[in-house]
Amino acid sequence: MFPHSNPRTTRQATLLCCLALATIFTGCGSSDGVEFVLNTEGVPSFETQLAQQSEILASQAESNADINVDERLDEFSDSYFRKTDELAAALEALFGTPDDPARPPQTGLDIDLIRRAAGPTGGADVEPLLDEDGNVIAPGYHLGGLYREHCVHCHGMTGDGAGPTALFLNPYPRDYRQGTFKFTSTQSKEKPTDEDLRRTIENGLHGTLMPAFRVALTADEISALIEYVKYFAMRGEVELFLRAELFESGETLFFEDGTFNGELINTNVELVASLWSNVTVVQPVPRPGGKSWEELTAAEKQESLEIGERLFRNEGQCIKCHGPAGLGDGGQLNYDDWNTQKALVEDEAERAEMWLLPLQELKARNLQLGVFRGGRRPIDIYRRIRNGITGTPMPAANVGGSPIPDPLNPGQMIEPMEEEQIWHIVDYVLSLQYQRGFRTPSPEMNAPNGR
Amino acid sequence: MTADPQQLDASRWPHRFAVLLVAATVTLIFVGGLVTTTESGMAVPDWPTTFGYGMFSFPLEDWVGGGWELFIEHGHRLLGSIVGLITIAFLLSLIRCDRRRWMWGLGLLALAAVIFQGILGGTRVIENERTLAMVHGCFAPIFLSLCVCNAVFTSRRWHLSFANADKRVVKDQIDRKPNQASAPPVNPFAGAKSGAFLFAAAVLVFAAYAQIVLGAQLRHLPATASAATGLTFAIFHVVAAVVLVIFAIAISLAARRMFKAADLSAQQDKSLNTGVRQLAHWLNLLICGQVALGCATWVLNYGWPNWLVTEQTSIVVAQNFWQTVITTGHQTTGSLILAACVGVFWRSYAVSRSAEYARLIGETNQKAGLRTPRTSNQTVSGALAGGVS
Repeated sequence: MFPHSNPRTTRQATLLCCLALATIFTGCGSSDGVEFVLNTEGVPSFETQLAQQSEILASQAESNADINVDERLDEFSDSYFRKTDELAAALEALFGTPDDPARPPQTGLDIDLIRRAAGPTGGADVEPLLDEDGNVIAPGYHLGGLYREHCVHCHGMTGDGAGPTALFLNPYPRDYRQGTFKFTSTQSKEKPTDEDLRRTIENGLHGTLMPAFRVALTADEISALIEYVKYFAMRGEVELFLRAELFESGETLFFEDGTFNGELINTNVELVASLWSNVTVVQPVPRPGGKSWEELTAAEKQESLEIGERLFRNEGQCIKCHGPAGLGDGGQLNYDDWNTQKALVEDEAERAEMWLLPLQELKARNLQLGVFRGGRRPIDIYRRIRNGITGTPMPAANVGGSPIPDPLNPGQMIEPMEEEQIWHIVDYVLSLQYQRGFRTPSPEMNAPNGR
Repeated sequence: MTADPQQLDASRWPHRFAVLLVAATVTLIFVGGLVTTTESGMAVPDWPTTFGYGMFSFPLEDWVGGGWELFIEHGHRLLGSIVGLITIAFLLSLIRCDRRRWMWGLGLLALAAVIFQGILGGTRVIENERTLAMVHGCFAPIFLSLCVCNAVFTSRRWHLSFANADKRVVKDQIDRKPNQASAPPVNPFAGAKSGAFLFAAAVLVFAAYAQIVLGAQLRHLPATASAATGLTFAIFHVVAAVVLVIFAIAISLAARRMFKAADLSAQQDKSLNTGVRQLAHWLNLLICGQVALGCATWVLNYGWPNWLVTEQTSIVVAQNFWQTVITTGHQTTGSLILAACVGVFWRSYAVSRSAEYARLIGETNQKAGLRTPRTSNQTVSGALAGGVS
């Protein structure tokens, strides 16, 4: 280095040169902008809402001369921005920011694990917070940056599933903010366990671009990411609940003196936390006869497959989506929970304004491919049939002993089956991959005598 | 730009170092690409030290046994240092063996560039700034291009072309030994066509580099970028790739047509033209390979396009071998294409100068009433350089 140069000045000059070059390559508009953004999925933009409000007020003003349209529009605008600011402030107070995460204690989330996943790629040290006398108010900590290193490009900074690569992918990356996860071992529609999330991260989702991280990450790192995924989900659900309180129920999150509406906020946080803590893991019943598939004789295997096929076509009603030969050609046009509302809006421009990603159809799985996103072990298939796939039209099997309404066909009922019979469907589904080209099942399989 | 024909007899060491520098830089770019692909950039948090150790004193067992990311990142640093040392050796060899002062300037520029690139990489680590990682990645092909220029300018073909081309020297020769001097044949690559070709080749160089920068944008998409931004960059990259492929293949085909060697009787001209044709051939191969690598990179990272398959059936393992190697190979091949484009430009430039001067010499001789026929071993440059072939 130059003998009389100030190292700090030299470093600053170097950084300046580098950033000048960076500007050339990236353009002047480049900015970090590392922050969580509010969830406005399915919500018309402010301009659209204002225009709608303006139309309504204009028509009211025709019959009522006392209505001052401009004044009322100003009130609407003020209210809109006040509520939006309140929501953002409350979420930041509860959950922090991407580089300074926090969590409400009621959620039971482990802040150390969250910090290991949060922060910039490569990690960063956060200095302790000191008061004027130099006393530590809040100790420093390390951010691990795992999420931004491995996940953010698909799942996005806010966990909205709309990262920069999201549009390349089919299916889209998961939007965590609804707290809905597809592949669970818990009762239908319930939250996943940590083990469910671990299985997804470790093994990836076969047939999607969700990679298996079992080689790239250690078990501890995966634990940190699991916690961060739950953090996104809880934050997202709290946001949805608070948004409803603000915009639909007309509640306020801050009192006029600037203090928190603690009771309202705590109620919603506790509600979300309870959804995550009150889950029941479904323990699979033993296979019929207590024998595994490998232990069955050839005749028993054949019998299991035949029963499975009848159930597949009758009580299970699997053919409605998966088709008679399991090709996924049952004819039902389906959408998952992330797309159902989009499908109701016909105008594409309107849809583009209200949602981050375009409409994506959901195809029933072609079972002859032998590709099962939630795992291909018999127990995985069993869970998909027994518990359904949350967030999709794939229902949980009716093992309750009495007919239940068919969610796909209003007015029709789904006949019950015994829980152990699910194993026959598992056997049949797993056998379909060895029947490539199988198109038309034999007519006798239509008889509903699966039991 | 002038050349000293006596360089033909000069030491070959500058060229050897220049070629070594190109090879080492390509390797360095691949390893640097691995750093990005495997997200190893921050595996070592300090710089220029590695966990407090000097660059070359970091214990071998810690380097090899410290995990894949550390192995890649420290390996990249070591290789970068080696490239720096080769650049110094190249500069020293120039000072010792090359009389062209402008060439010394280029050697110094290469040294300044490699130092700057090192500081850029180091600052990226110290500041943990991903944008700088992208700039570091984008500057590497510029350095490689400079190395290619150096390799071309120190090559025997370059000296040969300028020996052929140096009108002043040739005229002296004509004046001194009118009966022995004869005009070289007019290389087909002369006149207006050569200008158009050179312009197109120069545009190709910039287009190839622009595509690298676009690819780097896609590779280093900011975490906060929207899905629409990502898609826009991807579309630009793919459309630019199509344009570039057509453009590059057209240029290389034109080069193969314009630089025919068979019609030329002089060994030197054959050699010069063959040099361009060879590079054009390599450019074709690289372009084809790059298209295949680009498609493979897309499929391995984002799956099959929806219009091609109805269902994805693959399972992706994060940072698996093929994903890592092919993605990085795609990035490195982009730099190789740029290098080939730079080579095509400078070699064809050399031919154009040679051809243009040869044409002028022919005219001069005709005006002087000298005979113009020539034989394959009786070129001006041959006479000057003692029969170089």
